[in-house]
Amino acid sequence: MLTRLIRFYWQELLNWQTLTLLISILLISALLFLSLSAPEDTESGRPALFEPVSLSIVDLDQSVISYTLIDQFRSLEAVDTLFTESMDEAAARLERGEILLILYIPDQFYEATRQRLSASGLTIYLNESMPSEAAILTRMLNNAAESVVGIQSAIYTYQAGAEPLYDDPAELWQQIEAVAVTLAFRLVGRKSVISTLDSQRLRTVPQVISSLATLLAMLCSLLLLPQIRQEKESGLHVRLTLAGIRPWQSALARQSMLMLLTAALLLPFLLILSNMMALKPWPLTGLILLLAGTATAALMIGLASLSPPGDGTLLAAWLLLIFLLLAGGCIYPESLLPGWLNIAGHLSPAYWSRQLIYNQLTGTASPPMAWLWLGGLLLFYESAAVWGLSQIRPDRA
Amino acid sequence: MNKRVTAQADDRLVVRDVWKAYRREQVLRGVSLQLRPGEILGLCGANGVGKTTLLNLIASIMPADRGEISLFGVPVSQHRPYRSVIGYVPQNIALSPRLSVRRNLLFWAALAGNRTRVQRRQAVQRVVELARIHDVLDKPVSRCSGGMARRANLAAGLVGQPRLILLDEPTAGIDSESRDAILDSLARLREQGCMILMINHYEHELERICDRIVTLSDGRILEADLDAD
Repeated sequence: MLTRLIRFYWQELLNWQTLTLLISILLISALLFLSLSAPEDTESGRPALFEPVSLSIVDLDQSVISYTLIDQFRSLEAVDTLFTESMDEAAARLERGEILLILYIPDQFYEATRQRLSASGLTIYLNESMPSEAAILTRMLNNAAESVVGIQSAIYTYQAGAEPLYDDPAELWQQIEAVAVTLAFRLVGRKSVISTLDSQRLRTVPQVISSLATLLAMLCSLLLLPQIRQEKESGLHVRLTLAGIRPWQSALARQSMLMLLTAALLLPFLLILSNMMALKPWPLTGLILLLAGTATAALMIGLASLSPPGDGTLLAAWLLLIFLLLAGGCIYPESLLPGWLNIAGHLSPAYWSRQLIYNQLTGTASPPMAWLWLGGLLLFYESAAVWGLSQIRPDRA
Repeated sequence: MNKRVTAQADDRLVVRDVWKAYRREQVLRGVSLQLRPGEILGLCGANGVGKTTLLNLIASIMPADRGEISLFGVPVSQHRPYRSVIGYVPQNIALSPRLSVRRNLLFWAALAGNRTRVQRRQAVQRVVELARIHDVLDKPVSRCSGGMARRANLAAGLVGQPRLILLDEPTAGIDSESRDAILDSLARLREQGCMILMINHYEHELERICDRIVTLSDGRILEADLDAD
């Protein structure tokens, strides 16, 4: 009976409308994925996050701090060419769009920093045609400036205590300066003085890809909504029940169809990813996505079964989907979300799917609990779907 | 094929003192009626008096709060044998709109227990002739006219060769040709010994085909169905 039902739904699904929708989703997601494909770094053979950028530094200070700053910028992977030149030359270069920004270090910057315990005085001129990249570097510089202030403050605080250990106060002063500058600009080079777990750092491309793939897998579940509604409102579901079809069979048949559809949709991207991101083993990623998609589909079945007639269901389904994605860290990174949303996220298939795929892309081992959670959620939502289907009653009259 | 009812000491549909409420609203208040093979019973009444609720209770779609319903002596609570002899034709077109009429009917024939392809084709052929829908067999249901879609809907309810046929306004909003075709089909089914319970707003239609007509009002049958025990 289940086979017959699956065949029936399959025949129902294979129509021009569905195919058109599928092709549209395929094209849109292809564009999205391709826009993420980064150019190959020929030396390492690994994909690069951004095109390297060029900067100009106008150094009127010519001090130890400005030299360190220039050295640190040169060592950044993201910086291709670093020009040190006059303001006029740099401005012309910025005008021609050759550089991302100009970092203007004024005369006496170092002295001012020492006396006022402040790293202010730097001016940044941005290339308006590259706002995103410029914004990232500016934020990095601001963070560095704040770090300089913090480190200097800490060191100067202990200066008095350390003075008796040195015969020559100038030697102490020199050492403090050297430590302060080194520490501060290690931060610019993203080599934090505080030891951090590298695995905890958010990597943008894996985060975006894992979120996007999860979104696509979950989005497909919306296809079930109109079908369940039609089945419910026309009396087809009741007729199926009278013919001996159980709610679990109905749910399973619908979801089998959806899984096939989702798999067909995601397969090309998994193959692209496997080449682009050295994603291995990609079938495991496919399995994660199918589990997340199926769990979401179960939720949609439950929603469509229990909701009253009207157009509000589609809106509710969209809101639910957006909430699941948000709580799952697919819209904003998990670390930016409020605590209660992080806790709620544990009930979202998106949370576990994104995390498992992210770990795969970054080569990090996933905790077995993540799999257990995803499996548990699937079972829980399946039960809700079956219960919802069993509650369908014909309209009263 | 599903296990059919075999013990037929009682060959009737019996509804006795059935009550049903939706939350605080009492919809049916002690309804009793019965139906014999080869008989068509018409059920009429204003909107919201509980006609469809009564039909759904008889179809075993929902349980009654109180009272008894049995078919051929089998109580409604025994879903499998009870449902195996029921043909349910809801008010809306309960077919897949994207599939052709033929594919829909073949599916329902398969669910009715016709295991081989030949059996399924024969079952479909029989109801196609009964409902006179040859012309639209290969059309998607969504492209059929309202009348043809209703006839296909009826055919789907008949494909399992039911002994009791429950129809909820089968002729609502269709042209006279389709209405005649549907009523003719029902008359032929009566001749074959089927029991038919039909809800309809049009009393003249009921008078034309029904052996008995009962009117529901305020959850009660206005004129007592004298045959009921």
